[in-house]
Amino acid sequence: MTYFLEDVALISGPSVRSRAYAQILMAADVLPGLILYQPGDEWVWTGDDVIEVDLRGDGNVFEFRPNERVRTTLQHTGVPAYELPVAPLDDDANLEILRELPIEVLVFSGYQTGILPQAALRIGKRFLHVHGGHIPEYRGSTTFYYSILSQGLMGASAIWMDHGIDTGPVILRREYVVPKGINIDYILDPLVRADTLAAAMLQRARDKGWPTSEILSADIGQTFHKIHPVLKHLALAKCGLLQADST
Amino acid sequence: MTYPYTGRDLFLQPKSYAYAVCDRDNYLNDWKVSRKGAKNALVKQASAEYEIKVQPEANLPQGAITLASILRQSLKHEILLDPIVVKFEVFGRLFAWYQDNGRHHPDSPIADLQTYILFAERLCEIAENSASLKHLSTLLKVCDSLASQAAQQFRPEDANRLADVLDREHDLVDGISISE
Repeated sequence: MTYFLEDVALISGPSVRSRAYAQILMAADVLPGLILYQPGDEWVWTGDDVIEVDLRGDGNVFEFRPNERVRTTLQHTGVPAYELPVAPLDDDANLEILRELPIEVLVFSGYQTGILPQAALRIGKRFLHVHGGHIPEYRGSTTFYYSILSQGLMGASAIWMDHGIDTGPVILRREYVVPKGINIDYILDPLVRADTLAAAMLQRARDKGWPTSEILSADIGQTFHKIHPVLKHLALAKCGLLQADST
Repeated sequence: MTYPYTGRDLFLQPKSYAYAVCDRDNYLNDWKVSRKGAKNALVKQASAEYEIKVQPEANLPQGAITLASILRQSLKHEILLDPIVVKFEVFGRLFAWYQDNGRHHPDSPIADLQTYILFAERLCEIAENSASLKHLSTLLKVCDSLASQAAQQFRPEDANRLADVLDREHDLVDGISISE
């Protein structure tokens, strides 16, 4: 049985993160009531067509298709779709459309809008975002790499967005042991976020309400900045992702 | 291949660290070779006997606080360092004078090299004492920018201090375990 959350819309860009969201939600049998497509050039993955990932280390292998477009994934689901006129969410036309939708929750996937504009927080909707880090320990940028170096883990936190950076109320958090030899930026990052999103949406579907949110003080934990390449290199080494030099 | 964060003045032309491609086996070694070259030049400069022309210190305008004094105060009050780290991470450079509201003073020159070295020393201390990867990451970026300057621009005593910072940075990186 597939759950359809009629009060939830997924904002989908032509990005690998949106593709991971669509494919994992399909696999979890929980779908939004509406898809809002942001226009743009489709991202292209040049690696294997199918990547098998055992995200939770429990033997359940997910077959991720990084090049499969969201439209293809969702084509037989009957979920209605709407094309946004432009990609950035801070565009006035987009904000007007979002404001008028009979939808309560918008799932934000970050395409062409890294930080949600303040104006979007005033349209009377809630934005659900999955941050790539376990909050409050890991707020900010490239936190996967920092947590891999410190703990050998990747985290993800589903949050209601507010005006701060990863400071909104947290509704669900998960940690994942990092599978070896799988690209982090373009495969594991979107997949762990998608898995956490699916867990939150499933709970919403089964319990008829979102998980209880937890407000964690912005004073707890650290806000990280883009990791320096030398540290990123060490994290990649830890994950078995170094390549032989060509020279 | 050479370490990519070198070869130009990174204070004047900051280089982005976003989506850095650093998965080559030899990347770490290239970084070490680059730093070793910078350190050797600094050690030579530290023993230089000639006088380095240093810009005369400008008069501090009313309401301005020097970055150097903020950095020294942060020895006792570490929280004072946080906004400086954010500024450097966002803009890739710092000013010599700031105001109470945290903004740089409109008449402020860019911070001088000895103040950047003081910043790097503070980052070293925190990274060493609390194993903070966040501060080590910023330290690596500050050292990239400092190492991108010609050694002849440093006063001998500053060259010596920076050479010491590069040793500490090397030890911090070597101390990170990548085993299971």
